[in-house]
Amino acid sequence: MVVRIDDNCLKIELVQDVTSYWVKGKLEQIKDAMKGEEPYKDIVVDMGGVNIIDSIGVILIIALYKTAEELNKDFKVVGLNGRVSNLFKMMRIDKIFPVEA
Amino acid sequence: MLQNQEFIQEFVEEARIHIEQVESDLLELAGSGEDHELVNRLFRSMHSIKGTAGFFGLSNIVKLSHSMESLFGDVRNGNIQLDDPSIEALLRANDTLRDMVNDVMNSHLIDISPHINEFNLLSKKKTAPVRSETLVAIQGENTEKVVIGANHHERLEEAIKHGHRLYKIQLRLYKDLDARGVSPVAFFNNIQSIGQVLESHSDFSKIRNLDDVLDKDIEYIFLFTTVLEKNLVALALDIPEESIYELDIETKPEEYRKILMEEGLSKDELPAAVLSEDRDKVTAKKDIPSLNLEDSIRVPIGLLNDLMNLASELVLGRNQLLRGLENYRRDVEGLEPILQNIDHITTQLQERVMQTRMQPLGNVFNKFPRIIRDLSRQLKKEIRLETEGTQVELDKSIIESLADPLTHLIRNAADHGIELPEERERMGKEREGIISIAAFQEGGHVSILVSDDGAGIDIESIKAKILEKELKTQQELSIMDEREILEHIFSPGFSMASRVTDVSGRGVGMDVVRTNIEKIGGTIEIDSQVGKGTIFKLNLPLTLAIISSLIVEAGGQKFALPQVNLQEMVRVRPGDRDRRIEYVKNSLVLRFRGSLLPIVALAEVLGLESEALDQERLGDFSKIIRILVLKVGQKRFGLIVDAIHDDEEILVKPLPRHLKDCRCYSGVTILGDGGIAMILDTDGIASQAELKFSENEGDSRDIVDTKDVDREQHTMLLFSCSGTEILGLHLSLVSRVEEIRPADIQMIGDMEYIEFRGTPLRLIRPEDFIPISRREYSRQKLYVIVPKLVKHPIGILIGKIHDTAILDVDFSRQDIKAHGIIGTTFWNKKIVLLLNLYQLFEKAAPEYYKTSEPSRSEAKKYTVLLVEDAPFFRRLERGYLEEAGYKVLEAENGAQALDIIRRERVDAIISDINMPVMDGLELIERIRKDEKFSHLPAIAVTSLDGENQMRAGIEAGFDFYERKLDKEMLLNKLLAAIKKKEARP
Repeated sequence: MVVRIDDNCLKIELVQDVTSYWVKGKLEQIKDAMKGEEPYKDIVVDMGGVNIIDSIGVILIIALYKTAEELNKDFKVVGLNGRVSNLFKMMRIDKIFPVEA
Repeated sequence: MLQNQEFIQEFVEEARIHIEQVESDLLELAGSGEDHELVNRLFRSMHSIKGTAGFFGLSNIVKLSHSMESLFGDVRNGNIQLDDPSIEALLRANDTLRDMVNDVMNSHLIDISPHINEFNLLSKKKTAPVRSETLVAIQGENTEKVVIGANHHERLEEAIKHGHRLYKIQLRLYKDLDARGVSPVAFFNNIQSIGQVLESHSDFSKIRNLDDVLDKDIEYIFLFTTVLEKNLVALALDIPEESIYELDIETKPEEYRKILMEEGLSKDELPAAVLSEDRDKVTAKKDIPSLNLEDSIRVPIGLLNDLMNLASELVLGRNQLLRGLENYRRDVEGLEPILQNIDHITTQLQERVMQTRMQPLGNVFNKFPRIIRDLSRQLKKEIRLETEGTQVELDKSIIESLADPLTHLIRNAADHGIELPEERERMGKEREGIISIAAFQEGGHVSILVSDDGAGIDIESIKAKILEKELKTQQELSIMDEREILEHIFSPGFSMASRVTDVSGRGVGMDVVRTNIEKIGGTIEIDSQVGKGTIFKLNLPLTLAIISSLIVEAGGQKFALPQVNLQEMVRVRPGDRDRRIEYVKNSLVLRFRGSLLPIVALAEVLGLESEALDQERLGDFSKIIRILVLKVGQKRFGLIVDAIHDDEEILVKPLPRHLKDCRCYSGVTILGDGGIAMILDTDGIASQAELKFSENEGDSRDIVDTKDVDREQHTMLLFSCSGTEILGLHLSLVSRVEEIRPADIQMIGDMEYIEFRGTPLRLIRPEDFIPISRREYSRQKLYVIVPKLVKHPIGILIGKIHDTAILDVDFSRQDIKAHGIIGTTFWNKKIVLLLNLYQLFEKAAPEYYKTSEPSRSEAKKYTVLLVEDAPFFRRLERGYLEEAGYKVLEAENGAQALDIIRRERVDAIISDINMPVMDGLELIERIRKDEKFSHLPAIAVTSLDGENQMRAGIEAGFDFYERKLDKEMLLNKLLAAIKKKEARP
């Protein structure tokens, strides 16, 4: 996972397996990044490198969005592959925040 | 089209359940007339079969179920009324459907056209025009308000046409998917491959921020159409069946959103209109168990069997582990709780695995309504079937083995039990007979009662049949109780039916019923009352594989005794007053709580050496003896063992082939200590030991062993008067024993009387006349022995009856001599004084019983030869004769008698008839042939009754023929015979 701030934008790049095990290990790091000192305006989650996502992974995405709302940041997810995109559509996640392929 | 074997199997099992349900619903409909709910259920069952069969391309099944479904549709809409012939037609079609389902692969070969034609004919009888049906609701006036797109409409219409179903599925992403190892991506792919999502909603409200990631969940709810049945949906999506709710396919699309958004919707909370099962339910009948398919998944039986075997092996391993670590439990810290846990979990696991094989008895009972219906018609009887306990569960294998025996019992009850309606009316019964089958669980086993209120079984006709078949002799029958006689209906080839019908009466059956029930470790008992009916009681084990047993030891070997046979364990300590081991007529018995139980040593039955056995042989009961009280059907007996160990759950393994014929064993097992133990077969032990049981355990007279009756054994009534001495009176001298209260005794002068059958009966107290101890009676209950074979009845007042027992009487010993006492014997190591009734009466009532002096002086002149083989009677009769003044010579049989009369002067002969070597008849014939003795007065005395015997005696040459114990008569006749001969020239 890479977390960086570019142009007032907090970019979270997720890779490989976004699963419960992975989420447990990275959750604090993500929280720190979101609530860090450095100012930013938008949050972009890049899922281009994600092969597998499990339920906790999906919950993480929703939680990221909800936290962004709390922090008053714009939020979007990009780089979804076909299968994950299908999942987001079926769950109507694409109806609550922008999801880009 | 038939691709997926597993799914087809699912369909077959599913369809079978529907078909059974259809049969029972049809029968109920025939009985109840119109029932909207039943018709709905029938419709749905057919619809289900059609839907899934269509999925697999089973066209014949689809066709037939479709036409049945249409017919039910017409009935539901009131277009057709179902009458008896149409229900018959539907039943027949359902049978064909069953045949096809049972052989799905060849279902296309079965000709279903007769059924289709029949239904077409029935459909033509429609009484009302067909109402507009189903699916139009979608095209109705509200169509434009529907929130979902028009393409949903088309999909839905298509779905309805193809018999699709509509489900609402509600899932938590983490709990329902992740936890079952289902990835959400795969899940959503799957959904789309088996059906179509009409509407969906995700509830993210519980996730507030990143803090909720690990402990909150997303709920996903969607409406979904598919051809699959609910359980198949669960299987295909790998989600719990509880999360799926079936909706009415006709639910209006505008309601979808509302249904979807119902917060925390659970099945119970669903609005009635939403659930198709509830939609038409006006008066739901709770007593009809509706098919509950929601909460189960199907598992091949082979897998369950494997699981059970493994669980059983685990139990064995657990037992061995516990035994092996027994000594280290305290030494190794922390071992104890681990062992306890393993122990506990193993037991639970085993119980649960057992449960998976449990099936409700309803599965068997369900077929009986049809059988009864068919039989009623065939036999022209009116029969009502009542079932109870359909929910009681038994192991699958037991359930399967029960079907045939139960069917047989039901058929028998209908054919032989229930009478024709006219006959029932004549007997004041309802025209309609009742056959009831009831199951209930009692402890570790299940009982099933099959009863009818019909004619019952006539004991006399069974007896006649037994004699006809020469299974028993008249004499054997006379000592058998009713239950024992009834049991003969279980004998091979024993049929009570006077005619052979299609239904029963072929003489094969009841023995097979019993064999089958016993094969699964059960027992069957019968009770019947003429005119009232018959009851069969089946006792069955819950399962076959693992049984609870008691480990016992005999002859240094361990044996497992099934707990189900064990009633209690008794330790007999020396000197114990309440429980004693005694011999009654050479048979070992346990006197226990007022009963006598036949007992046998396990080691003896099995031919082993053992300490308990040695004690028993020596009659040495000075050590503690352990007896297991076992039950075999109605009977109980005691089994002596050397030691009793623990309870153990044992795994039953079949006997190896070379031990198959050992009837004492039912199987073999491996014990916790690794040793092998044979499992004892209680019934087999009882028959191996040749135990014979009494009708009433309390009555020792009936405990008879199979050895020949010894002639010197006599049946005695044992009693005490006011003192402690035990007195015995020959039972053949007792007419009856009356129970009286002290207040019943009335004094007249210094004599005591009671009222007996309307006349005064004088009472005597033996202690007044013979040298025995005397106390005041403090009892509220006394007894009077009314003797028989006496001229002037006198009642003997006694305080207590001990027993009636067959005792060995040794008359050669004369340790205690007293007037009124004929001899002594032992009972329970206590001395029994045998009463000489005539001497007692002579002392008590000399006016009636004293031989007159003149006749005595006359008698002194004569010598009488007494020929009698039984010492008791010889002694008794000798007593009479000597008292009367005669000189007496004795012979034990006819041959000895002939010897004596040749050597000595004999004036008269009194002879028994039945004797060894030479009997009385031969003796008298020889005497009469011999000129020298042909004149000799001779009287036959015998205990045999009857004209024939008397005539034979007189014809053979006796002057008189008398009963042995009638002293008065005997003396009179003797004198008369002597006088008669003397009067001759």
